[in-house]
Amino acid sequence: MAPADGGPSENLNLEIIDFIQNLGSCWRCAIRFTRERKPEAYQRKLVEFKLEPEEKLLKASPCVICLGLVQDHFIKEVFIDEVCQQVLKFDCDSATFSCMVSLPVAIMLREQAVWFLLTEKFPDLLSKNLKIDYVTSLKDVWKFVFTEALEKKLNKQLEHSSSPFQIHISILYKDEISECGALVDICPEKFKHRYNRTRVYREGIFTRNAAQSVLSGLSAEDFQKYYTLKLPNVSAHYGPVQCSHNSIHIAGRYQKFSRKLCQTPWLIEGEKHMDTSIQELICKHLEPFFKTQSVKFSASGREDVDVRTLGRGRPFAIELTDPHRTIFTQDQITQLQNVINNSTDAIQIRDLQAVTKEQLSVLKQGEEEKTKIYRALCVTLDGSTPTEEDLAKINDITELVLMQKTPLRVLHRRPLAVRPRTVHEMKATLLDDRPGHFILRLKTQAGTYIKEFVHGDFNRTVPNLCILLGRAIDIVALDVDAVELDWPPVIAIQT
Amino acid sequence: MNVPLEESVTLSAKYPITVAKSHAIFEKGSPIRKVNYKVGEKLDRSDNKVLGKKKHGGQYVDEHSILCIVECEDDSVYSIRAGVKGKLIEVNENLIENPQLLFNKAETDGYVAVVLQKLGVECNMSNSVSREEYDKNIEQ
Repeated sequence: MAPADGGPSENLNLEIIDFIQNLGSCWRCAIRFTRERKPEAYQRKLVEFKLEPEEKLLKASPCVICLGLVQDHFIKEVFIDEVCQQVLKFDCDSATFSCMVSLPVAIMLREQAVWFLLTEKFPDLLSKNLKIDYVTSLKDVWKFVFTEALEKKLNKQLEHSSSPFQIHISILYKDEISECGALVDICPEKFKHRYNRTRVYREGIFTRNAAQSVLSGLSAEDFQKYYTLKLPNVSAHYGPVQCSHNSIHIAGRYQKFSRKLCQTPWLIEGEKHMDTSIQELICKHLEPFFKTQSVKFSASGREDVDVRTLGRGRPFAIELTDPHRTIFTQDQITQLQNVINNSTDAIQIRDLQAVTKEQLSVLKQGEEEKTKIYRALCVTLDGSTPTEEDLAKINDITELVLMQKTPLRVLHRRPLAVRPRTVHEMKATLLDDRPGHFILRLKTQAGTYIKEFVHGDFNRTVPNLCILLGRAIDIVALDVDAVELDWPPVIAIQT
Repeated sequence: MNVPLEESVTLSAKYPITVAKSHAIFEKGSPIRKVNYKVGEKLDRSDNKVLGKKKHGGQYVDEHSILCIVECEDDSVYSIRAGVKGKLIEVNENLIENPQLLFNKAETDGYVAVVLQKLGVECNMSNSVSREEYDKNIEQ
């Protein structure tokens, strides 16, 4: 044990260890107070140590600090087995894991008490500048002791910096509330009201943060007024294990060929209004593959139920939360894409691939900034057919700024407002075989309501096509020809 | 017009309120001089302001509420009533500047106001008729 700066020499370290063990601590906790940071020191007991208190007592008592967590007498393989069983049940294929252990606050208090007793006993040897973080953290020691067993039983590598797969082990202690009562005495305002709000504080009235803030800056005298270190009656025990995995994001582009399909499930009063949706058509194949049931669908804008999306399609991204399958290849994803495309005529998808969370902002950018190209089938309502001259006037217009009041058809779910939107260019073509009908191709700013531009929406969108052509016009059908966003990257498919 | 006045299944319906063809205004044929949204000493429909999706602050109207007062060149004056119960969303400001729109394009650009009605709320629609019935009636 190399002496740390401002810390004691080897002899004094032995005295410290002795003192702490006499308080009722296990050997590992004792050497924690000598700032021992090496994992090996905790994995094998060195011969010099004194016999532990429990070897003298007839009845073994849990360590006065760690409550038996890293104490040989109280470590049983079955505890780790049970922890691993829960993790294996979660069944995630990640090759690594990171481990978070949450300790009872009672341990924090006990450690604080021992620290005060120690600094009292050795006031000159431990410089006044040292704080309690001189002590090696119990969580770290727990990991030193148990990592090998965990890795072996889980067949995964522990990664200290975050692995995408996290297991969260909670340690519980029966006497937590009674021992933490001291915190209430020290700082009644903080905790009294929590006793009444048992629903909010179900998981624990005493949180680490709250305890931390109460203890920081507290002097030894004040602390010892309310708290006396006592030998514990029971050891701490393992509580439930939570597992989670970072979300996986899958992006692609979809074309929509049906005029009776919505993008996401449309629920009226909790019941599905339509059979299915683009989201469901895609996700019902992704969910079993990634072994998750929780998905979030987002796209770069959306089209009405009765509008088709053609061209390269509209970019979308799906977030799969807590996937249990996390190892896969692009080929497998392309396979999934084929399965989806073969399963329905209503949509076709392309460029399906995994993307990172950071790339998702591109989607929203596309929705708000990128131009869109449409084709609308229009008809005059007075039976007249526009002449070539009429249409030529339209074709010449560029950068036409519209003022669009919130369309009546969406007014129930959007605030009333007026939005300026630009039609960059237009081209109208007569249909020879359908008098009164013409096709209008337009390139517009994101967020432009096309239908309202054509029929005017009671002149709540001005200017509009009726004004431009001097007669009432209606829209028969609308297609999105292009969503001008170059993302996600094209995936070339080898045949 | 291919504008659905209400989407096929929604929990609310928006009505652009328009003056019916059979109204005396059209019978007499006198051009409209002015459309006034100030219907009471302290009540000006054109002051109506709504905020947010739920349209907070919109004036509540019922079937009998007066939306506006129409003055014609021949000095005849008519009160136009809402005919439905709900929240006033907007009045047609174009009518203030161009009152004759109400005469020429009563059913479209000359709409009077838009009222948002919440379905499921008790509303006495028994006084209203469907479009087809109305057209049939006035032909007689």
